Amino acid sequence: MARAEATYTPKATGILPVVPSRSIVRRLLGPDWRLGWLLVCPVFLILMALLVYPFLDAILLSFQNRFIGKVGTWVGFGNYADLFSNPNSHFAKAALNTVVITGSAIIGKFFIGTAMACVLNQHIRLKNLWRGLMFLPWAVPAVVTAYAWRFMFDTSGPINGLIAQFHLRDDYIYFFNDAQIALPSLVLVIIWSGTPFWTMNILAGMQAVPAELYEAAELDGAGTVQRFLYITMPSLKHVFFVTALLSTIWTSANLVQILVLTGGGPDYSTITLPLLAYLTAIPGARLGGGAAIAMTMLPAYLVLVYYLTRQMLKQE
Amino acid sequence: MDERQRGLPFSRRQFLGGTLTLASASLLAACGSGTGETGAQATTAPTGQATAAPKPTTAPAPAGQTGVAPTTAAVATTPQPDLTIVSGKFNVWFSANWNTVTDEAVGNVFVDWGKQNNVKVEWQSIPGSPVILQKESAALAAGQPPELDNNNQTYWYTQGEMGDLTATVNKFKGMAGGMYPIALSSLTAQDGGIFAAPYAVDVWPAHWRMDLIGAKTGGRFFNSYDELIELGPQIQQPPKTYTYAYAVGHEGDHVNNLVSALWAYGGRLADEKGVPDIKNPANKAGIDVVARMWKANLCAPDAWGATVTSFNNEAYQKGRGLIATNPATIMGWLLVNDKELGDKTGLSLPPKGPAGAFAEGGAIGFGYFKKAKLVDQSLKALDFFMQPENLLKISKSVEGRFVPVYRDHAKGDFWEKSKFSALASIAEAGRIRNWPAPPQPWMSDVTDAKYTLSDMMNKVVRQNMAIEQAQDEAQKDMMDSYNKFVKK
Repeated sequence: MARAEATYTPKATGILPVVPSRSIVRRLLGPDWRLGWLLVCPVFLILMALLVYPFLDAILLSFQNRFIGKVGTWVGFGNYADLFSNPNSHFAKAALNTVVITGSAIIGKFFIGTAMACVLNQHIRLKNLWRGLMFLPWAVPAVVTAYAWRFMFDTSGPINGLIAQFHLRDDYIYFFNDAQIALPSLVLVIIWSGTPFWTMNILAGMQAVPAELYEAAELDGAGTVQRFLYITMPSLKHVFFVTALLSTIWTSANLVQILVLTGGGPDYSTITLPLLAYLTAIPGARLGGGAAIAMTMLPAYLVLVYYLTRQMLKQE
Repeated sequence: MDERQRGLPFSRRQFLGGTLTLASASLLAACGSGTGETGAQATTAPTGQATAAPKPTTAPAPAGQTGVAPTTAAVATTPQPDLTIVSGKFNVWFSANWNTVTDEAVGNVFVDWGKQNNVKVEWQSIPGSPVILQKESAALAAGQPPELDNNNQTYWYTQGEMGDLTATVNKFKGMAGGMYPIALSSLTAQDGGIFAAPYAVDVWPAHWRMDLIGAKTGGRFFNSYDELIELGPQIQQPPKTYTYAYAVGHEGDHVNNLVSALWAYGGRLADEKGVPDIKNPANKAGIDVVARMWKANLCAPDAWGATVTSFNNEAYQKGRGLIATNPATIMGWLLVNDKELGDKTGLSLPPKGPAGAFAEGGAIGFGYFKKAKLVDQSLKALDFFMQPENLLKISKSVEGRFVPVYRDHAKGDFWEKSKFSALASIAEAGRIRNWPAPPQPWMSDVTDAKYTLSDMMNKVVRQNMAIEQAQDEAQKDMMDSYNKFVKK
């Protein structure tokens, strides 16, 4: 019956059939496709409104010269070209800093996070208290911790206070104000605040490793180090991978701490791509330029998200 | 057995589908009506603005005010309480004064107006650039700018976001002994329109430690930059104290600190037509003297990394800097929080150069956003705010922080005999940042977004770039801003 309903009479109308027959639609979309799509529709609309539209809008924006509150003018790849041709764009430095900060922070978080997880996985007294304290840096809002570190490292803070009190140096240490040490100081704060996430994941992974494996290895004469290297580490491979991917995405997109602690300075020594995008778009009022900077990070994120999704699906 | 077989007139699937359709339709209808409301508000506001902006002489006048001569007494009696409750909040934003007394004095005048007119007023004191620019930009992007704002007005006025207040200001400029000329010139755009209603003259004196510097100079401030460079090392004790809390970072005060030196040596930031002129050869000596101060280790090294405008305030207030050229916010803070240091602090013109000693001045005033929700109330609020007795309340409660805009308010021992007399004389003779040009729309892009001058000094002092080359690069950068904002 459905087939008969979908039969066209091209001779009568002279128009070729362009609408597929109902049975084809059914075959493609399933027997209850209308209701199915209707039910999916709200989620689809929300996704379109909250994810796809802003994303596409940002891409379009990156091809425009636009002030806030004004209609943009199309400049093609002008904003992108400006990033590479304008010596005052600081794009290259920001890209390099983003890689350096992300890379060094990930390495730091990996080692410290693993060490902390090992300690917290032992039968120690007040284990739950230590675990709770360990998660604090991650739970406290980034802006609060950033200001706390700013105070710690300030010329009137406790570290420089000790230096002045005991005449340890001729001058203060300008942690965030000296171009030579601002970047390492910043990485230190990022590692401090991001390590609990690693510890939490690694600890959870460690607790999932069957105790029988350790017992068998012990019977075979494996020492502590060997058990760690040949049982713990391989068992945590997937945890490390997923944690590293997530942490890379978050660290490279970090804005708050850098903005509060250094604002990208001094002398652009701590400028990163997200911060440069923000400074260009909002205080600099160049929405298109800011969007173009943000879009340059897109290929890297697509690769990261691809591997992350694949890994997570594989685990499922 | 399906529902139809059980006697129902529809299937479960039909029922679910129908329910979902009904729910979606209701949701759409709800959204639609909400949009309608918003749309109605959105059209109301611009209408109010459209009548208010081009004809500010008639629009702001409350009932009964039309035709009343603009005398103090007459204007004081004109605002009639409007019994209609205005929906929404009337937002007033201004840059932080770093003490609550000043903030409250300014904010409370609007609160008083709101009470008399059944308008809910909310004022916010916001830390200076770039924070306030970000906040304004975000608010505008969201379509909800504040009704009144005292920052970045040249920029927003030239962007067409803020309205012309010439008629409003002209009503008041002759009152109470007349306004200081700088109160008007610093708020007049290139097109001749006044973009803000002035309520205080903000001057940038040098705050200096009379106890420490005076001990070396015989009780006076440094005669010149050269004397500062010569005697500074004998007075300071780094790293605890540095001679000059010099602002040079990516914050709001570095422009003033640099331009004071440029002027002292005959330089300028812009020419008479408002075109960037940092490449002017006369600027070289000013840049050089700043570089010499830095190389003599007379300035706190962490200034380069400063990203907050209060850096030099804090350095002075903590006793780390012995000089800070800044608006009298420092003195205002000291009067409230540290009277001892306040007593030891003198105010004077910045150090002198071959061309003289010049301080920056400029009026602080409120401009109104044309797209604000309660824009039809903005001019009424400003009419109330500008009345001399209201501004006198502010200047009385914050004596020393600002110079009053009306000359009559700057009379008496406080303004003529105390250390604050320096402020009144700067108000008479101070220069605006854009001198010899009127306020320029490109300036805030250079000073608060790109920090071109900070970067120029960084190149000279820390990268040892030749001054001429740094000037050339800064000139190109400034011309980019000029071309973007002025030259269409």
